[in-house]
Amino acid sequence: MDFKLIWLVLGLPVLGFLIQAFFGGRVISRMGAASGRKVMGWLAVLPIAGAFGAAVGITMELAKRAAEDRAVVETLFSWIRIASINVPFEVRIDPLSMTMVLIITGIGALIHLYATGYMAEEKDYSRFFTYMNLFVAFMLVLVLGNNLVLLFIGWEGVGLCSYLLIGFWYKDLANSRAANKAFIVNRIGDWGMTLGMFMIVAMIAGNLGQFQGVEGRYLSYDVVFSSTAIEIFRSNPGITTAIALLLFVGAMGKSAQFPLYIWLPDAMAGPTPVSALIHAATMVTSGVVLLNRCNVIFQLSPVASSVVCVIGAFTALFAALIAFGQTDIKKVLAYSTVSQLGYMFIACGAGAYWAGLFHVTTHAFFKALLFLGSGAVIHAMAHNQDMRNYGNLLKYLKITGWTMVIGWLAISGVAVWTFFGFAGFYSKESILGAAFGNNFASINGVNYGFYSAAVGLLVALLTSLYMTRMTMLTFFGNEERWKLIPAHSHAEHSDHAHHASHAHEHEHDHHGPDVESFFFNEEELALAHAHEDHEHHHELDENHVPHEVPTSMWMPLVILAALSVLGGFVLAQNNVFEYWLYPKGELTILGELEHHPHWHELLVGLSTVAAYGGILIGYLIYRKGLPKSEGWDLSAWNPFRRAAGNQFGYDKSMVDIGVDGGGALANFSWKVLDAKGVDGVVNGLGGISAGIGRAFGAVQSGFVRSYALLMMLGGAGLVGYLVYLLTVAQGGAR
Amino acid sequence: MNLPVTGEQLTFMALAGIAALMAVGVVVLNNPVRSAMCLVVNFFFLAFIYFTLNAQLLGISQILVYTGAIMVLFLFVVMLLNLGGKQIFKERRDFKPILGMVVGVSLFGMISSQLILPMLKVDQIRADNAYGAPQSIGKTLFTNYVWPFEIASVLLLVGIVGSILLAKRRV
Amino acid sequence: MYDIRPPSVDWSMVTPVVLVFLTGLAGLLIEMFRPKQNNNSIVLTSLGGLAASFFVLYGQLSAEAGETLAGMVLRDRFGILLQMALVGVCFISILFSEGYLREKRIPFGEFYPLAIWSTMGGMLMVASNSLLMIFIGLEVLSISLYVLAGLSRAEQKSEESALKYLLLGSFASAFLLYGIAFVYGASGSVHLSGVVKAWATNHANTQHMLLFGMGMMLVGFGFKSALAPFHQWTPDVYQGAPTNVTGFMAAGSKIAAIGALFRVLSESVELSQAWLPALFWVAILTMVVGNFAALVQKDVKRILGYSSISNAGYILAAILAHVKAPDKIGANTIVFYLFSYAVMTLGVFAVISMNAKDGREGTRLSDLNGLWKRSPLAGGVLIVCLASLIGIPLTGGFFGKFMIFQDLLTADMTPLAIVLAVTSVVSVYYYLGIAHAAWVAEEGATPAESAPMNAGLQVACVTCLVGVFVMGIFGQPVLNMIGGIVR
Repeated sequence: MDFKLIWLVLGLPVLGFLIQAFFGGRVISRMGAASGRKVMGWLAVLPIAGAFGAAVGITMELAKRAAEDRAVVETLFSWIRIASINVPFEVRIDPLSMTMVLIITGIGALIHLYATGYMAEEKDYSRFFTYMNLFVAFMLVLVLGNNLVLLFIGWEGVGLCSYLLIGFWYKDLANSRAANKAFIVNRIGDWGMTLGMFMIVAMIAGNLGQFQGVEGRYLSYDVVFSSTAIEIFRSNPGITTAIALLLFVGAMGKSAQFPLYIWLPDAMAGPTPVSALIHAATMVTSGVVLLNRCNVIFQLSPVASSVVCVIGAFTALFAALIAFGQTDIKKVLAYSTVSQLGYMFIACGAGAYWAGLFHVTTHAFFKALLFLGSGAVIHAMAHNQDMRNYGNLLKYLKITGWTMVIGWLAISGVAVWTFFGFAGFYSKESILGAAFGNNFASINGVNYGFYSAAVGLLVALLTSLYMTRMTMLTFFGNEERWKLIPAHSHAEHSDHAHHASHAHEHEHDHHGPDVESFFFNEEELALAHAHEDHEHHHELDENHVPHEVPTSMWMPLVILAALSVLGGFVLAQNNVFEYWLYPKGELTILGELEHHPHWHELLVGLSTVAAYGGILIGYLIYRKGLPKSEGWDLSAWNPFRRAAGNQFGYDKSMVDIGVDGGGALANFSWKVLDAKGVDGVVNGLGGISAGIGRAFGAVQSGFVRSYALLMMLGGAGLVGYLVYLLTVAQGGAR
Repeated sequence: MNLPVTGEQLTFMALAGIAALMAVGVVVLNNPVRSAMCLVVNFFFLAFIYFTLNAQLLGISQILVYTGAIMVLFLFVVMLLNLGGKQIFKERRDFKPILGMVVGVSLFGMISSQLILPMLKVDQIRADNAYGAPQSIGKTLFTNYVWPFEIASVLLLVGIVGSILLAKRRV
Repeated sequence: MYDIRPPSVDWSMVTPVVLVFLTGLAGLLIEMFRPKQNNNSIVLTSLGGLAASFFVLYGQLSAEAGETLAGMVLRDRFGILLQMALVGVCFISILFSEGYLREKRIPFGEFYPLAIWSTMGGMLMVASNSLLMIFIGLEVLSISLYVLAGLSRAEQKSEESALKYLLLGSFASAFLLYGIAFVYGASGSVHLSGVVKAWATNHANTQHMLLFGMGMMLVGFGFKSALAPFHQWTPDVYQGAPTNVTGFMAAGSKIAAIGALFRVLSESVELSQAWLPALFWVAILTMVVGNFAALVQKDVKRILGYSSISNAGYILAAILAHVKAPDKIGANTIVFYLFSYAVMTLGVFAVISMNAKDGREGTRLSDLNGLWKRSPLAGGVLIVCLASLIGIPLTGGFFGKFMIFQDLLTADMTPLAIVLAVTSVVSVYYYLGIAHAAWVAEEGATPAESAPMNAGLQVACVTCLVGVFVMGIFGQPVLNMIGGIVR
C-alpha cells in the first residue's frame, strides 16, 4: 500500500465535487427527479466512502512503522517558488492527520448517506452535495496539509463551505443572515490566526541562517516545529505567548468558544446533515486540530495554555447553562457542542493534547448520532423542532429513539465504574484526569488547569441534566404533546430556520411507516412535486402520526450508535489512542504528563455521581412530561430560564455592538471624516482660493484713477525697495 | 549781496516753482478751461527753463508746438464740448487724491533726499557753447539719432491714421 | 560746421523693420483704391510683406551680432528670434482677423496697417540696446494698440478699454521716460552699456540715480508686460478690445515688452544685487494675483487677461533665473516660452473669435457652450491650447514650464519654483473651466451663435495646433535651434 494513495483520499472528494457541480443538474433533469437523485446521491457518497477506504489502508500502513517514524510527507507539485520561499503542495501523513482523515471521511460518508434521504425532496439536490463534497475536500486539505499555507487554505475553505451550506435555503433572509454571521464571526477568528501565522513566519524569517538543508520550505511543519525552531521560540517567550494566543483566537472562532461562539446556534439554520457534519463532527474541531498541530508553541507558553483552559471551562459552563433555556432540539445540541468543545480546550490547555483529540473522536461519534437522530425526529414531526411539541416519540420512532438513547448515555458519560463505559466517559475522564493531575497550565503558581477541571466536573453534571431533559421531553413522558398544542402557540415555530423552500408535504392521511426504498419515500417525492415551490409549513395537529425514517437515514444512526458504545472503550485500552498520537505519551517539551491526579478514585466517583445524578434529577423533573415552568406560556417561565433562552443577553449585545457600532462607525467615517474632513479640506481649499480670487478681483474697481494710484504705489514701493537694497548691499560691501 | 544760493539757482527755483504750481492747478481745478490754461502757463515756464539752459531750439519748439498747437487744440476741444458752469464735475470726497499726494510726496522725498544736495553742488557747465543751437541739434538729429527721428515720423503717421479711424463717420 | 557724416548703416539689420513698415504703408495706400469693404487685397499684401520680412529675418540668423546706426539697432540671436516671433504673431492674427472684423461689422481696412506698425514698434523694441529706441518702439507699439483697442466703436466697452489703455499707458510711459532720464543723467548715455560703466564708478550718487532710474523704468516695463502691481489695465482692456486685437495684444505686445525688459535687466546684471530681490517679490505677486483672480471670472477674455498676467510672472521668473546665474542659464528658456506662449494664446483667441456673428459677440463662458458641436476643429484646438496653457505634457506649454522650473532650481530660487508650481495648479481650474464650457456644459435656452470657420481662421487654428505640438514633442530640438544664447 503506497502512501501515494493519499492523493486518492484528497482527490476523490474533489472529483465528487466536480461531478456534482457540472453534471448534477443535467443528470437530474434528464433522468427525472427520482432516479436522477438516486444516481447523484450515490455519486456523492461513493467518493467519500472511497476516500475512507483508502485512508484506512494508509493508516494501517502507517501503523506498521515504528512509533518515531510515523511522519511521511508526500509532495504533489512545487506550487509557490518566490525568491527563497518554497511552498510545495505537500501533505503530511502522520497519526494526527490520519486520525482526522478517518473521522472526516468515515463519519462524512455516513452523513452523506443520511443526507441522500433527508434532502430527498430538495429541489437543489445536487447543489447540496456539491457543497458537501467541497467541504470534505477542504477539510482534508486542512488536516493533511504539511505547511501553514495549506492549513490556511483549508481553514478558509471550510469557512466558505460552512457559509454556503448554512445559507443553503438562501431565499429565506434569516438563513442568509445566519450564514453571514457565521462567516463574519469566523473572520474575526481568522484575523487572530493569520496574525499568529505571520508572527511564526516572521520568527522563522528572522533566523533563516539557522535552518540548514530545508530547500526554502520555511512554512512547512517539519521546519516550523523543528528543534531549531523550538529553540528560537524558546528564546522569545513573549512573542511565543503572543503567537499562541493569536492562534487560539483563530481556534476560538472556528471552534465556537466564548466570545466567538455566537455563530454556532444560528448555524442551525442549515439542513441537519450540515449541522451534523460541519458543526458537530469536523469543522468545529479544527481549532483542536490546530492546537494539536502547533502544540510545541503552546507547550512553551504556560500563560497561553492557562488562558485556553480558562476560556474552555467558561465556555463549557456558559453554553451548558444556556442549553437549559432552549426549546428547539437542534439548539440544545448546538449549545451542547459548544460546551463539549470547551472540554477539548480544557484538555489542550492542560497539556493533554491527545485527550482533546480523543474527545474530538468520541464527540464526533455521539454528536453526529444525536444530530442525525434529531434530524430524523424533525423529519418525522413535520419539520417542527420545538421539543414542547414532542413527547413519547419512542413509541413511534423505535430505531431513532433507541439510537438517540445510546447517544444520550454516551454524552452523559455513563459508565460502570472503570470497567466499561460509553464513549463519552472515557474521553471526559482523560480530560479531567489530565487537567486535575498536572500543573502545566499555571500562571504565577495558580493552577488554572485544576480550576478549569473543577468547572468541567460541574459541567458534566449539567450536561447529563440537560441531555436528560432533551431525551425525556422528546421520547418519553407519556404525553403526546403535539396533540395538546394550545391555539396560539401554533404560530410560534422554532426560532430560526423556516425551511421555506423545503417543500415537504404531509397530507392529513398517512399510510403508516412507508419505508419503501432505501433512500427515500417515493410517495413523499410524488407529493412534493405537486407543491415544489409552494412555501408551506405543515401544521402539526392532533391527527399527526410520526413515522420512522427510510433506511438510508437510520442505518448511519445504528452505525454511529455502535461506535458510541464501543469506540471509547476500544480506544482507551492501554492508552492506545494516546500512544498512537504521541509515542509513549511523551510531549516534545513537557515530556510525559500525568494521566490522573493521585486521588484518581475520587475523581471517577465524582464523575459517576455527576453522570448518574444528572440523569436522576432529569428523570425526576421530566418523568411526567413538560412542566408548566417550561411550557408554551413564556410568562410562566422562571427568569433564569428565560435569560438562558436569550443567551443571557450576550448574543444580542454583541450583535448590537457589532452592527450598530459598525454602522455608527461607518456613518461617522462617511459624514464626519469624509464629508466634513476630507471634502471639507478639499472644498475648503477651493473656497479659500475663490475667496482670494474674489479679493483680488474686487481690487479691479474699474476706475482708472485707482489703477493709476496702485501703479504709483507700486512704483514708489519699488523705488524705495531698490534704495533699501542698495543701502544693504553697500553697507554689506563696506 | 551774498545769498546762500546763486542767481541761477534762484531763477530756476522761481520758474520751476511756478511751473509746478501750475501743474498742480491742472490737476486740482474743476473747470476744464482753467485747467487747460494752467497747463499752457506750465508749458511756457518750462520753455523759460529751457532758455535758461541755453536750449533755445527746444524752448521755441516748446512754445510753438506744445503751447501753440497742442494746447490750442486742447482748448478748442474743451470749448467745443462746452463744459463749464453747471456742468462742472463735482467729485465725492475721496481718499485717493490724498493717498496719491502722500505717495507722490514720499517718492519725491526719497529721490530728492539722495540727489538734491549733490545736484546743488554741481557748478560746472559741461555742455559746449553751441549746445542748444539749431545747428547742433540738427547735426545730431540727422547723424546719430536719425533712426529714432524717422521712427518718430512713423509714430506720427500712426497717430494720424488712428485718430481719423476713431473719429470718422461710420463706414 | 556743415560737416555731416551720416552714421554707418548695415542695411541688412534694418531691412526687416523697413519691410514691415512698407507693408503697412502699402496696405494703407491700397485701402484707398480697394472695393468697398473688401479687404482681401490688403490682407494678402500684409501677409505677403510679413512673410518676406520673416524670411529676411531667418536669413539673418546666422549673421554675426553687431550694432548699427550709432548703436540704435542691435542684431543678436535673441533679437532676431523675437522679431520672427512678432512677425509670426502678426501673421496669424491677420489670418483670422478679416472674418472676425466682417462679422463684427467693423471691417476697417486700417486695422492691418496699424497692426503691422504695431509689430514694427515691437520689432524696434527688441532689436535695440538703446533706451531711446526702446522707448520709441514702445510708443509706436502702444499707440497703435490704443487705437486698435477702440476699433469696435459701437461698443462702449471697446471705447472704454481704449481710453483706459491710453491713460494708463501714458502714465506708465511717463514713469518710463523719467527713469530713462535718470539713467541718462547718471551715465551720460542712453545706451544700456553706459549703465554698467556708470555703476562701476562706485559713486554713491551715480548709483542712487541709476537705481531710481531703474525703478521708474521698471514701472513702465512692468505696465506693458502686465506685472503686478501694474497689471490692472489688462483684464479691462483685454475684455473690451475686439477679440482679434486682444489676441494680437496678448501675444505680440507681451513678446515685445518682455523682450525689452530682458534687454534692460540682462544689461544690468552687475546691479542685480540691488534689484533682484525686489523683482523676486514682483514675480511672486504677479503669479499669485494673476492666477487667483482668474478663478472667479465669468468672461473668457477676462480670464485670458489674467492668464496673460500670470504668464508674465512665469517669464519674469525665468528672466530672474537667467540673471542670477548667467553662465549656467541661457536665455533659450525665455525665448522658447515666449514662442509657445504666443502660439497657445493666439490659438485660444482665434477660437474665441468664432463667437462673433452679425455684429454681436458673446464672450461669457456660457457663450462657449456647445462649441465642440458647432466646430469640432475649434473645440480641438481650444482643448489643445488650453492643455498647453495648463502645462500638460506633449504640449509646448509643458516643456516651457518645465524648462523654467529647471532654470529656477538651477539658479537656487526654490521659493519662486514653489510659487510657480502652486499657482500653476490653481490655474488648472480656470483653464479647465473654459474647456468645460466649450465641451461639457449643456447649451442654455438661447444657444450661442458662431460664424462658420472661414479659411483664414482654419489656417490660423491649425498653425497654432501644430506649433503647440511641435514645441511639445520636439521641445529639445527647438531649444537647440534657438541656440545657446548665453550672455
